[in-house]
Amino acid sequence: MSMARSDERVSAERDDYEEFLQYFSKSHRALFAYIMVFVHQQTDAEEIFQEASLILWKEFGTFRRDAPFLPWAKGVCFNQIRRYRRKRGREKLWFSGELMDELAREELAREDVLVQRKAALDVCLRKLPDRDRRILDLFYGARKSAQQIAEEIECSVHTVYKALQRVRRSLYECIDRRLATEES
Amino acid sequence: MSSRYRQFEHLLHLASRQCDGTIGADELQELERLVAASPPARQAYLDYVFLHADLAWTDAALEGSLAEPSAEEPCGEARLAPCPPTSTATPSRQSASTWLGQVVVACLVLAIGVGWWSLNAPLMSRRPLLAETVAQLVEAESVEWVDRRGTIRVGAKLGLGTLRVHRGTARIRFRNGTIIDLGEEAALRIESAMSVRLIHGSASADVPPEAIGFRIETPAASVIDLGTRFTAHVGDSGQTEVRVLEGKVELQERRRLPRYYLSFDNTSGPAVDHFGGLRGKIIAGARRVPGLIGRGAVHFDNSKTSEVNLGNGFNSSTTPSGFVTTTGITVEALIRPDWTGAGRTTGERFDYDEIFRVEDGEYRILLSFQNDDHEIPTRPPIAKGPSLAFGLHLDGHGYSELEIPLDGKEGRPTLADLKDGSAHHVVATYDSREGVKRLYIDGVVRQEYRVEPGTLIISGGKANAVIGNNEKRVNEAFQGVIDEFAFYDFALSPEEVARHHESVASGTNYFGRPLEELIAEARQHRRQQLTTGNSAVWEEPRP
Repeated sequence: MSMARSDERVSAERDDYEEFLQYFSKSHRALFAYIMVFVHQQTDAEEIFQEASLILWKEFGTFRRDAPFLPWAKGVCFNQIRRYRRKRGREKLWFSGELMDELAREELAREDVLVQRKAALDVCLRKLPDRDRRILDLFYGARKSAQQIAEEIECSVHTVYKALQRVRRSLYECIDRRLATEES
Repeated sequence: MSSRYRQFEHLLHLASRQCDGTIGADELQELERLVAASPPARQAYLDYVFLHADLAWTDAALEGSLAEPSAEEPCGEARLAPCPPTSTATPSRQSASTWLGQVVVACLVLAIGVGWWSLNAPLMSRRPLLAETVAQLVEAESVEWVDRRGTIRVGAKLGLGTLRVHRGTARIRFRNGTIIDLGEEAALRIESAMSVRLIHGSASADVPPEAIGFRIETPAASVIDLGTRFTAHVGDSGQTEVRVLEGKVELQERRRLPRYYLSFDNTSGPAVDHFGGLRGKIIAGARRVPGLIGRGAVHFDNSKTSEVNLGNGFNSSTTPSGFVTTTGITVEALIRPDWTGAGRTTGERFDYDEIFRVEDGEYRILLSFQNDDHEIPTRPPIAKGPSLAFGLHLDGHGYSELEIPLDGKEGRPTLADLKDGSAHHVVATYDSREGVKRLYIDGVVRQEYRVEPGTLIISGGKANAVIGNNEKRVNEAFQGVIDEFAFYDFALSPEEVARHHESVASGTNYFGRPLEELIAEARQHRRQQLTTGNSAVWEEPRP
């Protein structure tokens, strides 16, 4: 026995929702990454992403179906980032508004390259030594703080930050090399 | 030629500090100057922060590559070596409020984020849920995996998850030495380091002496190794055939009884689980009170710490799978709620009272009262307001919640009806064979949602199961009394739920029989030992 409301409004909302899912499921990762570019910390990015996701859904009716979804959605996200910056501006360190705007423009222009870099990252991750994967998993996957990781693996916090920097550098250079090889 | 990293080394060093949240004001100013200096500098910067951003959402990218700790390797300043974990504390890099946000994000995204996962989850159904891997794919002969665009590479490390072979054969080796060979059309879920669930098809096991006790759960029986090689086959009807090639196995009948059942009738010490051997810690804010049924129950005062913490169940020798379930689930409780349900009307964005929650992120299981902005889409959609919610992650559908609006319409109770001082029976079920989620109040189905038959549950992780609270303690504690908590790894049928309700309405436990009798029966379930060359066929128990 289903007790779902059967009126037309709910049905239409469901159709809209299914369509929204189609778009959003293809884009949400890119949107989260986009937010991270400006706020860097996962907890901040999640807060913004949460708000932005809801606004995307609420404003989905205004999205022109003949336009690409991602740039529209990034615009919504960038507005949320600005709003967040106004709200939390004093608590955190931010780039100036001018530079953020410039980076937002640059990011849009660089979208294709960033997609290629993502694909290369997947390959480069597989080549990482286990110990490097482990620190990435602890920091990004298990979402532990550097302090917690330091306690867990009995190293200094400084060592953890150095290791993270080293692993990211290694991946950055691996991605550069792969793309350079593909281009040549 | 100098690498681009070297060219922008200082800029990227500062970007790294920015990503880690350790950059100072002067350094940020310096970074801004460097980034603004030229388009190549901005591109180098963007590529770096994008790498950081991708890593933050790259569970699938890391999938199968989780390193196993090598305890012998020493830590040092020069290089970071993995050492044995010294703490099992849950991550706390997030504040409670942002964690709550994360839950909402995860719910929204993962309820609708199926497309991304299906493109990026070549290894198993989802990222391994156990922090450590328990097995490895060691051979794959012309194998095609079901519903997966990618392939699992030989050597991939496997955590908790489901493997589905379409064609060919695959061999996995557990860390304890157990080898499992999967045949065509086999579906097998790794549920722990010592147990798998054969959902369909054939699997052969070769279990070394050090892994005696390894279990293959099937719809009809638990097949427990006693040092042997054997094959198991599960047919379409759930019928299980076991053949011993060498050594000995024991088949134990599967009963339609709870995996865990806490009556709260023991009057001191931890709350006793009568079937699975768990011990529920009753934590400050929760206290024993006279039972809604039987001698005892637990009252929760809505304070942050009030809970009965069941652990994650993986240490239980009788049910090594913990709260992981694949083909079905039932969460059942008797409650007398005092939830205000005020929710948004008091300015709060969320108002939750948890009856039961295993907070494994997107793989969480929950049964709770909720009043929120419906930022987490419910399936099917419902009007805003107080509701009873059942959250579960289904393969290919993500995490979503089934909710009963407590609005008094169409025969549904209002919150006031549930707060009439009487005990109320609440049950949440999902049956993968039918592909249907159901929520019941007082023996009657009040809401249901269907997906395609055969859709499996994805559950499991590191989180502890908690009655009356969210383990993260974010002001979601229950207010009122909970009694007769039961967790099953199959779905009770509507007829069974109705019978359970009749039983509690007449003042007995769900089964209408003395608990001692049930416990004794559960311990004396049908067993059969098979030795070399013998086989047996068992049928799945029916409601």
